[in-house]
Amino acid sequence: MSVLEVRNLRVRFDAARGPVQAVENVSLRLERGRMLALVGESGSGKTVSALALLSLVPKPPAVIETGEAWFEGRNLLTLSEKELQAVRGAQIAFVPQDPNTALHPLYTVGEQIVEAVQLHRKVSRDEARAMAAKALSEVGVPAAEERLDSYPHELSGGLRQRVMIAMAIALEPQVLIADEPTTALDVTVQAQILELLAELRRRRNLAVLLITHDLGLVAHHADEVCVMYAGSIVERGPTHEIFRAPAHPYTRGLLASASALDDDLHEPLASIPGLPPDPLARPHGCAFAPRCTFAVEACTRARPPLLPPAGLRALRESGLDLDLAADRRAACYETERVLESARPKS
Amino acid sequence: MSASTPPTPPSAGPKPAEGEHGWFRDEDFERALVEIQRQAPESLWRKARERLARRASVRWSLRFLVFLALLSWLAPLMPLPSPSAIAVASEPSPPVFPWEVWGDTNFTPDYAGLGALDRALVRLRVAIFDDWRTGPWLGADALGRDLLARVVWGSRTSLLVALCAALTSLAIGATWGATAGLVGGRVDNALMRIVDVLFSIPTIFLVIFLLSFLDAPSAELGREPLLSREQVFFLVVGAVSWLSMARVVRGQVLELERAAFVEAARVAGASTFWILRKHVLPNVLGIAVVNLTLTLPSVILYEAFLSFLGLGVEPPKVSWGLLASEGAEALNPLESYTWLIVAPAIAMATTLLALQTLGDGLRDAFGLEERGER
Amino acid sequence: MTRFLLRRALWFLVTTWAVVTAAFFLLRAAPGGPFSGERKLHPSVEANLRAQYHLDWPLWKQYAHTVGPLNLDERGPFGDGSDWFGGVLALDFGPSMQHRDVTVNDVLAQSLPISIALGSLALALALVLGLGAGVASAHKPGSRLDGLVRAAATSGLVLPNFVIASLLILVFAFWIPVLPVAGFGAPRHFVLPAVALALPFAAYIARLSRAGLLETLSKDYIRTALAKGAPRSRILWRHALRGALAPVVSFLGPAAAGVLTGSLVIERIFAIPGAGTHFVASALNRDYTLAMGVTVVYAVLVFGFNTLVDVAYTLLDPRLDLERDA
Repeated sequence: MSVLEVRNLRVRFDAARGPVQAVENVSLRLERGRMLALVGESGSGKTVSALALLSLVPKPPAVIETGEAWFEGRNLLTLSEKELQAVRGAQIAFVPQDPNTALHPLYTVGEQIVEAVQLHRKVSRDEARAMAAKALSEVGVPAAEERLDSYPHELSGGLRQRVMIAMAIALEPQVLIADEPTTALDVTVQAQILELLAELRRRRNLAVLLITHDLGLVAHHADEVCVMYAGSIVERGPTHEIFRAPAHPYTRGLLASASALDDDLHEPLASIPGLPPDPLARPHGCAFAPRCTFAVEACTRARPPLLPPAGLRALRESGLDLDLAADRRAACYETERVLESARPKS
Repeated sequence: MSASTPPTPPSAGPKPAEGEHGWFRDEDFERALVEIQRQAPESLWRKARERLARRASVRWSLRFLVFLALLSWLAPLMPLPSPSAIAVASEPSPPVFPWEVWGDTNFTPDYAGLGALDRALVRLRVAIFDDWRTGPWLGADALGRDLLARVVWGSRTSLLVALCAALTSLAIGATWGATAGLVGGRVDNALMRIVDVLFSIPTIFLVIFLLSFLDAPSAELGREPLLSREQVFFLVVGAVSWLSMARVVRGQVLELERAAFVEAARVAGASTFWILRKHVLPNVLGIAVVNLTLTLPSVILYEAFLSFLGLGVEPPKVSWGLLASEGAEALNPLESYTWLIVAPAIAMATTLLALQTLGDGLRDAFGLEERGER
Repeated sequence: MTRFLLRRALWFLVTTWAVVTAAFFLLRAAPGGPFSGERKLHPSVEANLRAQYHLDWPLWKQYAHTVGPLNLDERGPFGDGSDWFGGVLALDFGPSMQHRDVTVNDVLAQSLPISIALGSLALALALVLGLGAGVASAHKPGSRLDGLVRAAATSGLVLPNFVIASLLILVFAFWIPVLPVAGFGAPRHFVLPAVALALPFAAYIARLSRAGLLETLSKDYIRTALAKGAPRSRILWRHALRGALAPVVSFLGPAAAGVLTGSLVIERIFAIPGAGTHFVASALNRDYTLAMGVTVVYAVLVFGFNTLVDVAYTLLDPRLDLERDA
């Protein structure tokens, strides 16, 4: 069942050079015990969408134009600052991108977790400390009790991110929003952190929203993927379906350029030609059309709506193992041709 | 790394920051590119100018300062009474509005110690305005000296002294700091230790001694002093206020040596001289200009401070500090001659405000931070 | 920490020695002497006086006597042995040359506590006023309150402190007579001097803390605190202020020196019998011993306060290590 449902979120930034539509009509649904990956390159609006849910975007310059975010029967976007404070951290927790700058450098790890606990629970310092230690050991920090008295600069990047996750889960929230939680970490640590998030999701029946630019990273853990481009969702669906049969040219390009794990290493890496559009002057039609090899004339006239992609059935009949999930969507007029090109060569 | 390559010493090259796995990431490259574009000297100064021009407060400050500089330079040409002309009076007379008394025709050229140019300007003034003079718009002091004239003439001393002192401190401080930063090692250590020690000596102590020391021969021997009081003053103040300039310049030089765009230039094969001229100098100059602008107000305040202690300029010369301290001394509970302190205070406040605004604007324009040292 | 303090102590000795030496030679190099005042003394009287204060000794001996710690006076180790130690190192500055029959130590003992009380009061006031204004200003940047604080802070920086003092006297003593103009004794005598002395520094601290707060408020860890559900006021006071305090603390060193300098003027305006009065007078009157005493005391105060500031700085930021950076 869904815990958090976002409908038609639109966020605008009033920048010095003019208004920028950072997020356009984004809808998401988070379910307990499942991980939803929101994938896109920097500037695609993925982080802004997530931060806007908790009103963590700086206002001004950000303006939430429309949208609803239903959580436990309440629309988060209409809550007062005080009501939001009770939700933040306690029910919806946030794990930031860079643990190196997200921890206050002048307070010990313990002080910071204890603060999070005491903001929401009326417990004594000792009880809060015990909860903090428990959370730390749950996220796999060795000698958790002693670590509480460490300062952030005394920890490695991986440990710091574990501390951030411990802080997030200390209060047993229902939803965890992780904003590129592995970008600032070593490759080996990246996998561990992601594994930790996936495990917490199972053990605690958490709904996890994972924001990332690395499609390869989500392959093993995310249940569902939403791909964002230039402020809009261009494709969504179950992870394995998206990986097997990308219906949007942008997803296809992303998959091709992601370090294909099991592909032939001698094949040169593909890249998407061109650059994302200037957010101040997005094309009238499909934002991806200028870079798209599948683009037809219709693409430049009107933006394609997010619809079940045509051509999936044909693909299954050709022998590809697909469930034909009901919630599969893509915003492209030419899904048939895109999917056709993914057909295994016989 | 193959076995034949010698191991690199640990100090060589910047240590990769934590979390960086490879020696090179394309984000690093992009950041370096952006840095190069951002910090290229031409664009640094051009951007600073653009950012400055956008601020109305900075534009007005600049206009005011130019106006003030012209006014004080051309003071002898103005139809003002002489600042030291004494009229018999029992007490200070209050200001009179221009529409009540517009002017008078009792000007007498009564000046002391003018240079050739100033004398020519006075002759020109007499030729133009004859013996007409402005009315006592700002009032007069206990000796009947016109306050407006004294404030205008006082600006000459205050501005000149401030400018000379700030330039002296710039010259000493920038040389000292740049030497320390560029040579580095032991020299750097020694030079900065000296600055540290000097920082903990109360500067006022040095100023008083140097002033009385350099100033005394005139009083003792009755001959013309080697240096006038103002010259002594700006040398002394310049000589003691260079410390923070030295620190700032050294810091900037060190920072630049490590900066990504300097490294990029070095990798691209630029010579040391080229790097100094194209990258280090423009950047250091920026910070020096900012510091210079912000030193001017503190020197003007210092001049006032010394005037109050009786160590400032001596009559018949006049400065804002002298006027303000005369005004402060004229205060008494029975009859407060408010205008005597308010007029120089306003002159000083507006000027310092303009300088401060300009300095803040420059600092922001060059993208520098406010530091906790003065 | 111990090593840092030891090292500091060493530098303290070096600095004091530099101050003493500079003061000694500058004073003697300056023309005139303690007895070449307005009244011309009879040559024999002057010679007597000079002998009494050992001004007839060779310069090296005078210097050694001034620095100490051995008392070279006849009454000292080579005389009837009343006092073995003397000079700066023994904290004995000798007799004053202008104020006859009083030692410099007596003068300082009488005037210094007053100056220190005034100075610390002013510094505390500057800190409280400045930080309060800075926080109020950064709470809502661009608001009317912010504009007011910034204007007040700027005006505190553009006037000499004696003008500020005069204006305060004008308003609070003459126009609305609620406070005494001058004098000394009751606590209310301290109000105007302390405020006048503190205002410029409060203004600068307000600027520093405002800028620091605004910078800190844009940091990632502030967003973390928001995401934890911390209210805005708590974020400002607990999370942002701690980070913004560093530039303020490092300004306290120069501020302490500035307060000492400013007290020369303020003590004069409000007729407070502090040590500041002696500073200028002793230098101008060539009261060698008193000038030395006042100068050394001021240098020691500034140095001590700077060390205190450095220690406070490390307590504030666990990332700093005094052992390494000393």
